[in-house]
Amino acid sequence: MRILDFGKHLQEWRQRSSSSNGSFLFYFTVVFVLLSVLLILGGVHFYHSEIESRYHTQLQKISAITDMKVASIQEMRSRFLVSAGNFAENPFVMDAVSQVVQNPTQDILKDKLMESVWHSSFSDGWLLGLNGELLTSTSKDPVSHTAKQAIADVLAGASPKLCDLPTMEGNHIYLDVVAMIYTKDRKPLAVLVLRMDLNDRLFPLLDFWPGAERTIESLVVMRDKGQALFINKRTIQPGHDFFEREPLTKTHLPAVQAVLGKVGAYYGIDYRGFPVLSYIKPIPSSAWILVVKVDEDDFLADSRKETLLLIVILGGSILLIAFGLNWLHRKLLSGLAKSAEEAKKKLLQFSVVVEENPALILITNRTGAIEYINKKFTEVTGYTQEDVIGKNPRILKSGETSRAEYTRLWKTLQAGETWQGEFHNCKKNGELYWESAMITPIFGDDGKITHFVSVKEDITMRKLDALAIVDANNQYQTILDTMPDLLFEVDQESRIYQYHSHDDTSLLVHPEHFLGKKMLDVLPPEPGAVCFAAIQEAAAKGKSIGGVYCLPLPKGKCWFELSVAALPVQEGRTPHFLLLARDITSRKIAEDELVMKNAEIERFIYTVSHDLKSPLVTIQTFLNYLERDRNAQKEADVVKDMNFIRSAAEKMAARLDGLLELSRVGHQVNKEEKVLLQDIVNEVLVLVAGQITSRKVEVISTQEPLLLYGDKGQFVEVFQNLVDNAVKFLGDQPSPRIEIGAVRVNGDWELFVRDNGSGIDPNHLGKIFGLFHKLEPKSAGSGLGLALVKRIIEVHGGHIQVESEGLGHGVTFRFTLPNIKRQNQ
Amino acid sequence: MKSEPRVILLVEDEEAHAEIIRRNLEDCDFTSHLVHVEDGQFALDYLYQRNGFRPPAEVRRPDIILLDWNLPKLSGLEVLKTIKTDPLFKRIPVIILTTSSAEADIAAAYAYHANSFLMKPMDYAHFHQMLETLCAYWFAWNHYPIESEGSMS
Repeated sequence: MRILDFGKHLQEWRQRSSSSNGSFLFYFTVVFVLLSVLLILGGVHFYHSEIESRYHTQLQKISAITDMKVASIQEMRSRFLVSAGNFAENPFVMDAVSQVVQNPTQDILKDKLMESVWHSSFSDGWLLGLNGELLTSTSKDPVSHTAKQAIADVLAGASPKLCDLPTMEGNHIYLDVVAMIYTKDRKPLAVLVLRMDLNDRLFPLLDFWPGAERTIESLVVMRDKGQALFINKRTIQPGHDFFEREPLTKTHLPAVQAVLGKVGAYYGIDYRGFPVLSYIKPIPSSAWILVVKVDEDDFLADSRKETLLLIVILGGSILLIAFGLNWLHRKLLSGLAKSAEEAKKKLLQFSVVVEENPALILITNRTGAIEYINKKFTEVTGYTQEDVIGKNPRILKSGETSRAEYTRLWKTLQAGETWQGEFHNCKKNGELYWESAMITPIFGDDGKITHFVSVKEDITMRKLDALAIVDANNQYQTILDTMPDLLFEVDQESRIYQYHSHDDTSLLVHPEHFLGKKMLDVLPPEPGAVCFAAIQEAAAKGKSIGGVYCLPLPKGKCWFELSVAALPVQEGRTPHFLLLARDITSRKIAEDELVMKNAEIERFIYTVSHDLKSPLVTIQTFLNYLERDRNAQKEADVVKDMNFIRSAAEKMAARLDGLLELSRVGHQVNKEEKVLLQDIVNEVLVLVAGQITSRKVEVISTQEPLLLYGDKGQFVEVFQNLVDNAVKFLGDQPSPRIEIGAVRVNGDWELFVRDNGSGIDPNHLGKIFGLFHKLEPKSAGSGLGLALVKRIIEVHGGHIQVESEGLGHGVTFRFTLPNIKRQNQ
Repeated sequence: MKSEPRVILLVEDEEAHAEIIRRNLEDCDFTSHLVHVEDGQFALDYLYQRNGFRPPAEVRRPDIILLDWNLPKLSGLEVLKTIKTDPLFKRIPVIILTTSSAEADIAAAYAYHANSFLMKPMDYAHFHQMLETLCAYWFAWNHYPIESEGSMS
């Protein structure tokens, strides 16, 4: 359910994010374009108005200055003309000229006349006759060509005339003026040509400029021979001279325009190829035209630079903003795209998770019709998509799941809650299987259930395994319970974690006294060390078998055999060991007994072989002697030999009897009964009465009413032999005494037979119970009695020992028998 | 061959066996002097001349000891131990003569430096042969260290 929800949300989110993204881009672009257009328009407008205003200002400036210059030039010209007129009207001049005309040889007058030319601040002067002949001149040069033209005009009746075309001589530019000299009665007398130096008058005027413009140039042009003639030198560009010409075809030149008749402002390209603003104004009453021009750059450069800077700044800013916004947008977009991509991947992952899920996943609609099953579902149930899509999951019903369970399921789901439980369902092939299911309703936007998702797991194996585990556990428990052994779980330090005993009475102490404690601390040192060593061996080799320790318990010594095995290592835990302690006390006792029995048998066989062989050696050897002695007719020796043989044979017979008797008592206690000690003693005293009375032995017997448990006849034999033995070794005791008594030692009764006879060398005490062992070779008896006593007592479970303080101090035999009790107890 | 008869100490509790040995030695080519004691205690008493034991004047320290193994009071082993741990007697050859053939006995005898371990033969001929050989070996062929201690007296 969570998975599906996630998918739905993801899709919605993606749609939302992509649409908002598109509109954003559009608005952004529009706003940006509008802004740019506005900026561009504003910029252009600003630029235009700026340029225009600059033009306007500049034009005003140069037009004003042009007007001024034109006026100045005009004034210069008219002054020149006036002064020439004045000169010609001068009475002195008139008089002198008339004299010269009348008498051309009047050289002094000529000189005076020419002198007056210089005085009148003209550079040179020529006086010509009406026929054009030269009367006199200040210069040796002839009259200029232009002056000749003017002379013709003046002669034809014109007023004084100023030539338009200047003449150049050396470095100087001159302008000629022609005037008629009249007589007093106004008759033409002569023609005067006066020359004026323009260098001093015109050029400074032209070159003067009151403004800051560096490229300002004032040019005086005129039309001459179909060309534009520059009178003054073009100074902005070096390499130009006076009187240069330009063809009229170069209409872009302001000078050409001027020549062609243009007046006022003109925007064109000058001779250098630079765009220039010019102002053209003809100089009145002359062919001269003044052209004042200035480079566009000169007055627009600043503006342009500023505008360019402005454009650059503004454009740069716009671009920067645009790029910035674009970058931001891209980043945002890529981020969105990335998260969308990731979301897509996630969705894909989730769908794979669902499809490849090891759980059975089933989705139904509200009515229970199956809409989706995953692979595992098909794998487990055998139903394919074609089989189940559109059908109800009840096709899986086996009838094994109870109706109540289904009711509970539907109630839970309809309440909008998740149901969890188990089904015992049926596969397509009819096989039954167990599944653990979790069914969850899915809600639509309106809060109503739209689907159910069921996630199930095939738990058949688990069910079977669980049953098997229960079985195994039961079996294991049964095995444990039938084991007589004690089991402990310990760690390497012998700390006890768990224990098992089939019966808590086999525990010696309450579990709380040893659980969580170390065996080393709980057990006595020696058993503790044995257990610890076994655990260490198991830690090193995996197991340890055969360690044995002994515990002194109230019921007696108990022996335990240890088996230790390392338990499978568990993560995060120190190694644990299983320690099995088996009570082998009975086995141990049996073993010890067996060892004892074996030793006894060995001793027996040894004794038999030695003690029976000895008489045989005697018999065999003496038979040889007998034969020899008889052959040698040695009658006395024959008797001797025969005695040896006889005594050996008797000895052998006695020993064989003894062996027989020993074996009789040695096997078992024939019958067991309660016998009063007094009864036994009394019987024995009857049996040994002869010896006792002949040796005058005083017999003292205990009065304790003790009950012995065992074979009465054998008990009688014990006491009889002991008393016999005592009597035998009374030695030369003057007042012999034999004491039969009982004392309590550590709560148990101990019986004793004590005499005050010759005693036994302590060195010999060890062997007196030996079979056929006789302390006195010559003494009576078979050497069997004490061996028999020991055997009987041991067969009854008792123990006998002998003590003597040495020769002459008597002998005491002490022995115990189990189950000796007071009669009244 | 020395002219002086050798002294043999026989420790034997069985009178019959002692008689057999006595007779055999009488028949033997070597002259010897036999001293017979009946148990281990007597043997030591004899050697140490104690507990009132006074041997006849002519009896000297034994040249060889024939020792039975199963003896009353002190066993052959104990007698052997005493002899072989006493610097005075330890050089005397001790020959164990017994009916026992138990391995434990043989091992114990040699552990305490018995010089030989013989089993009593079951018939006269073998008994005789054995003693003859024994005398020849110990009295004729065998060399003894010179005893500075000299005789027992």
